[in-house]
Formats: sequence, C-alpha cells, structure tokens
Amino acid sequence: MTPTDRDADFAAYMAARRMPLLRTAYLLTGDRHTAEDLVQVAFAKLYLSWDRVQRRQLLDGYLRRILINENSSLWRRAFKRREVVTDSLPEAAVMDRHDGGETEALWHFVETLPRRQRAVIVLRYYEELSEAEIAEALGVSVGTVKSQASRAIASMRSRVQDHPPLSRSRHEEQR
Amino acid sequence: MSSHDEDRLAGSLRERAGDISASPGDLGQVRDRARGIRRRRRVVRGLTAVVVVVAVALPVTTRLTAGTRADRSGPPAASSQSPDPRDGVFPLTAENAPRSGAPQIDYQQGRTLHRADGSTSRLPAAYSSLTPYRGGILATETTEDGYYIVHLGQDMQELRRSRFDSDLAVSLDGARVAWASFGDRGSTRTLHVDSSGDPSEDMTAPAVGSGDGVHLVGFLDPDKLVYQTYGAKSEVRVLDNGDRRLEGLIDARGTSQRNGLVSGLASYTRADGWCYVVRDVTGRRGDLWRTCDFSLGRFSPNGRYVLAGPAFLNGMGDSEVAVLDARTGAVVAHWQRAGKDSAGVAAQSVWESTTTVLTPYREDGAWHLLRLDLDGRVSEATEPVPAPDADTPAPWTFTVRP
Repeated sequence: MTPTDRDADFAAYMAARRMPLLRTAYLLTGDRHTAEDLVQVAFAKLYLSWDRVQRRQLLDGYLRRILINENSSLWRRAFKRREVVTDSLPEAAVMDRHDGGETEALWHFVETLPRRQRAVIVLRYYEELSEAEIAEALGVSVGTVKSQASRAIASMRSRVQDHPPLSRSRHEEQR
Repeated sequence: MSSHDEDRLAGSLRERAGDISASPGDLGQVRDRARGIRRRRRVVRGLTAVVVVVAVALPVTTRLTAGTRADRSGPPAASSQSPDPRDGVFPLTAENAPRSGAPQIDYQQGRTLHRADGSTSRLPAAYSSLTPYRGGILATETTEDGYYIVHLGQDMQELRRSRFDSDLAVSLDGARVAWASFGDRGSTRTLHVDSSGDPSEDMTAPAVGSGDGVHLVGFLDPDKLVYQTYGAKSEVRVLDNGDRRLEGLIDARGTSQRNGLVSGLASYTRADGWCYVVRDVTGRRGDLWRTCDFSLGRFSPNGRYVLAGPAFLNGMGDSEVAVLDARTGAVVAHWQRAGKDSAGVAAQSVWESTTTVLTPYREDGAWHLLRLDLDGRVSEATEPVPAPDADTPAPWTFTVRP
C-alpha cells in the first residue's frame, strides 16, 4: 500500500467513525473541547499503528480502547491540576428541553459518577455494548463491569428518590 | 432501578450526545499530532537508555564522590548569574538548567514522602494531596469507588478514613486544616475546619449549593475560609461566623492570609476573553487591579506576589509562568516556553519560598522539576523523571500550601 493509499484508507475510516466517537467522548468527559482533543489523540495513535492492525474488523474496539485509556490519563491529570472543567461559559446558551428537567437531571447524575462507573454506564446504555465487550474496552474483568454497573445503578436509584423531576416522572409512570 | 429507568437513562444519554453537532475531522491535524507522539516516544526510549547507564554507574561514582556529598545539601543554589531576558521574558526550559538543591518543601513522589530536612517516609499509598496533621499526615486518596480522606499517624499507619468531596486547605501556621465531606446520602456537603486537636475551635457548616462540588481555595485568616461551589450553582463564598457570598467572582484561585487578598476569575467576554482580579476582601478596598493577559493563582507566602499563567487554560499544561506584584499587577518575572518547536508544558507551580517557585515541566519526554527564581534563573531541583507518554502526570505532589 502506498502512503497515499494508506492515508486515503485512514481518512475514509476517520470520516465514518469520527462523529460516533466524538459523541462517546463527550459523554465520558462532559466537555466538547476535551472530547474533540481526546478524539484527535485517539485517531493520531491509531494512525501510528494503522499498518500493524491486521484485522480491520477489530478497529472499532481498538479505537474505543485508546479513547478510554486517553480519558483515564486526562482524568488523572485533571484531578492533579484541580481545575474545574466546564463547558458552561457565562454567555453560554441555556438548553431548552421539554421533559420537565429529566434529561438534565439524569445527565447530572452521570456526571457525578466515579470515572470507571461512568465509562461502564456510557458503554452499556449509549454504546449498547455487552458486558464482555465493556470488559475488553476497559481492560477489566466481566465481574468488575457487573459490580461497577450495579453500584452506579444503585446510586442512581437512591438519588432518584431525592430528585423532584425524576421522582415525579416515576410517579406519573406508576399511575 | 427498573428497566424503565434504564430506558430513561439510555434516552438521556442519547439526547445529550445528540447535542454534539458535526464538525469536520482534519487528517492533517491528526498526522501532526501523530508525529508529535512518535517524536516523544523516541526521546523517551533514548532517555530510558541513559537512565539505565546512570543506574549502573552510580555505585562507583558514589564511592568516588562520597566526601563531597554534604555539598549537595543546604539551601537551593543555581548558577550565580541571572540570565538576560528577551523582551522582559526569560526562557522556560530544562535545557542547560543547572542542578540546584533539593526542594525546601515537603513532597510526595510515588509512595515516598520527602521532607524538606532530607528525611523520607514510606506511605501506605500514593495520595492525591497531603498535609501535615496532628503529628502525622492528612491525605486525600482517589480510588475507583470515589474520594477518601485518610488520617495517617506519626508512623504513617492509617488511623481512619472517610468519604470526602473536595481538596484540602491549610492555614498559614498550619494549625487549621479544612475539607468537605459527603452527607449521608451523597447529596449534601459539609465543610469541616479542624484546629489540630482543639475541638472547641473547630468549625462546621453545610456547604451552600447541596449536590454540587466544593473547592476549598484557602484561608483569609484563621477564622475565614474561602471556598467555592460549582455545578448548578457556582459561587465563591467565605465561611467565618456566618457564610456569605463574594459577589463578582466566577471562581477564586488563591488567598493570602498576610494581607487579606483573593485572586480569581472575574469575567469572560468574547472581546477580552478571561479576565482576573486581585481583590482586597478584608480591607474593603475592592478590586486592586485586573488583568486579561494572565490567569492568576496562589499568593507567595509573604503575600507580596501572585503566581500567573496563560490567560486561557486549555487543561493540557501551560506554556508560560509569571509572577506578578500582588498590589499592582506589575510583572515581576515572566518565563515562556523556549523555541517555537518546543512542546514543553508546565503543570501547577507552587511557592517554595518568598523568592522561588517550583514548576513541574514536561519537555523532551521527561518531567523536570524546575526552580524558578524571581531574578529569572532556572535550575533543576531533582533528577528528571521519564514520561513515557504525553499523558504521564507529573510525579511530584507537594504538600498543600497555605
């Protein structure tokens, strides 16, 4: 494969996978700019090993794993820097949703989860991966995935009762 | 949680992700980034080889130089000549930086606590932050399950631990330490100010903005703690006899117990970008000065200076460090990344003394602990540590500074 073919091949793959990956990165980080940067680093690392990836059907999983590893590194660094990362500038527009605040409330819960639990929730409920696939992506055992998911869900269950939009929605559902 | 709840969670994630609009990917930028990663990896491989050689050679060298070992201790000392600034700016680089004395403040590297007097202690874990406390150490630990505050005794054995949700703040004399903890159900935060053994002097208050994060900025005097809530309700507040809001600050970055000053972010506009102020809180003189050229950080131990960095913090590390006069905002010293091609980045700087700053600086595949002197001199306080990847965090954690 010539360098031109190689780049065309890579560019086609990047064009197809960039947006889904960006959305996952956004759910993992909660910040658009950080997500953009994360995705660029993930593609850069994939670019370096592009010729060594023999089984192209495994590319998505490989790329996802790079992304999650990068996010873990970023998270450690951010904690050390003690910076409050926010995408809400003072002039930012307010998102207008017509669901009584449920989406925002659930998103807020996701944002408060520990890093690994958040990754498990995003991969399970957004990417719709199986527990085995999540374990592969995170580099942990299936048992760890189960326990992390279980803790996250239990935590959400307890918070649902404290949060008016969510408990209201639940009561409406039960009626 | 029922499957209905799980469906709602999945729906919420899908809706949130749907807010991300399409933007074109740039192959050129990805290639540039890949080249940078490849270059750093090569440098690290070279550096690792050098470290191996040094490790082998060291025993012999140590025997040969045993008689001069004492010369390396004592106060920091770099080259005697201060460099000439270019346009008032000194180069920020580890290249050709001489070795000076070891850090004069306590720090953690790996699981070892290095004290300013040269002694060391083995810690049970590598902590996120730590400070001397009741003859031992109070540390914060980040685990997969969340954050914990841990009290270590004099022998570094763990005495107790509990959930917490903030960083630590310590008063100038070290007698008061503050932190925030979760309520029973994780929905409220409580601020604790501990007075090193005298419970009657302790202060406790519920943090305003329950459910939000809490960042402790520092003490204004032993009875005044500046803290910040963030999340749905972001406010800078002062806890003293009561609990009041500091109006006009988006966030706070540093406090000085010497003169009652607070540094912080005051505004963001598209025209000026991020603008910071130094405010006289206890003297009621309001904002002393304002800058849109730098971000501001912590004050020097004597309150005369304030640390500064680039106006826009990208979260990836800084390309410059400055020290400004706390009263006027005048630039006292300014260091900038040397060379257009340098990829060096500075992590969070700390005050080592009233005239020196310690700055972890990643350059050419290694972390360097640079000592920046207010006369412009740059030296290295410790041996560099290989950074196998651009994401390798700085290996040094300094004890919490007032």
